[in-house]
Amino acid sequence: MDRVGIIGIAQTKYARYNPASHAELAYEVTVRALEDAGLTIEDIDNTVTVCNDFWDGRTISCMTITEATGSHRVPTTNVEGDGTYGALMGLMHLLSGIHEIALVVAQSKVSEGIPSVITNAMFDPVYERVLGLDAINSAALQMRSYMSKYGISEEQCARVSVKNHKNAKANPYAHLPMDITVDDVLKSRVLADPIKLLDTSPISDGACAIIMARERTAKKRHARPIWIRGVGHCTDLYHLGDRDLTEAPALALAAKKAYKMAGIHNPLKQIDVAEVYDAFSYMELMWIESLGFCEPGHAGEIVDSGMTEMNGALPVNPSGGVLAAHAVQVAGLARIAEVVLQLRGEAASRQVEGARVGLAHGIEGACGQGHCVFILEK
Amino acid sequence: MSEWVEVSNTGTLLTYTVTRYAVPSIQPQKPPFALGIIKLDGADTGMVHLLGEVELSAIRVGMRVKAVFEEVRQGSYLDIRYFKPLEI
Repeated sequence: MDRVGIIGIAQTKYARYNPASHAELAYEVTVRALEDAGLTIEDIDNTVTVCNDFWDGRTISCMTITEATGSHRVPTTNVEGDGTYGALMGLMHLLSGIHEIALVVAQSKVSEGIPSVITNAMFDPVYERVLGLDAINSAALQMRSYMSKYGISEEQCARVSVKNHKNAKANPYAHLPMDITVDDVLKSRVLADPIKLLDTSPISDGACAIIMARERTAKKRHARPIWIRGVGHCTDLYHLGDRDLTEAPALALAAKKAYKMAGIHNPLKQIDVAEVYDAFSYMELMWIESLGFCEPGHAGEIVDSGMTEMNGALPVNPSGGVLAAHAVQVAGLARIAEVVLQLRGEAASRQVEGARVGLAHGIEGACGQGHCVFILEK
Repeated sequence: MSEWVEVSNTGTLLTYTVTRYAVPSIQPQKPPFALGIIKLDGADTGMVHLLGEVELSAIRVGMRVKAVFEEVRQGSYLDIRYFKPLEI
């Protein structure tokens, strides 16, 4: 694969409510990503927006951020899905050979609208929506399933939340930097057993943008491109009852493809830092199993051992992850931006020392139906 | 794909949760209410549905359950009112 490098990034601070409009959020990260890349909007020859009509409350909502992203000047595509898929589209635009520099912008204001109603609409209208399924209680079905099969405890899941909220204290963009204990998590309000408030990601407004360029342009225009070495994506079956909710075969397949492209045979040894989509605490455990960081069912022992802590062998979510900030559709692109910061050595007090190879992961759909994995390298 | 296969109205509970927050516009019952994935005897896959006539704290993975049908059918998924524990 031709090399494509990420040469600009920007994120807003994530917050429970940001008074900026969708367009203002998109504009902020567009301007700042251009500054970060040392480019002007005229240098961008194609854009990808990441917008979803249900979350934005408008039909073809991507159209409303056209001006804010400078998309009225160039070919532009919208990706309705996690930000990692927006980055994937940008990558494909560049690999087509038709474009040189892509701007990818994701924005979302989860503060507008009722997340339960919006996520209820993900489900089948005849067989599932009528049951009052939404993102939280469907995840609870998965969490119970996974815990029951492997004997993973609520304490082990809670440890993920403790770790990530603590990590978030070093991330100026994070919505929920917090010092909490396992006990705090276990005592937090039960939303849908076994999911408690502190097992859950917050409602966040925010935006993220990345600029990527083909190798010859990346090298010419920027001192430190971060290279996309591998990418993979795959989607599991749709109806919850058709899936084995104790595992993520789609993630395993996505990771396999990304690893193959990137020449990763031993993820634990070769990956220095990982940002994964922990919409709920238990998900980080499930995802690291399917990423091959440990055997299925053993992620509980891994989090107990401290391997994924900041000073562990493979830090996971030094940014605080999605548990610390969840602007839907933005959060996967934010994972990519965070890994870029790590590999540039610009992650300040959340820096993983000497990070050269990083993994960024995004999900979409109920219970992580779809997965997208990026391997980035210095 | 076009042949009907008869399955039982009894099955095994693969997983469950009790929803404890209220979103009246989408929820079929006032919380707390229980949802589960049931694998009917004879079926290859599971179906998500409500659980009823059961102590919420007594629900267990692996429980045997039985469908309870509405008297008057409307052509809705909720013509199955819920699944209840199967008495042995």
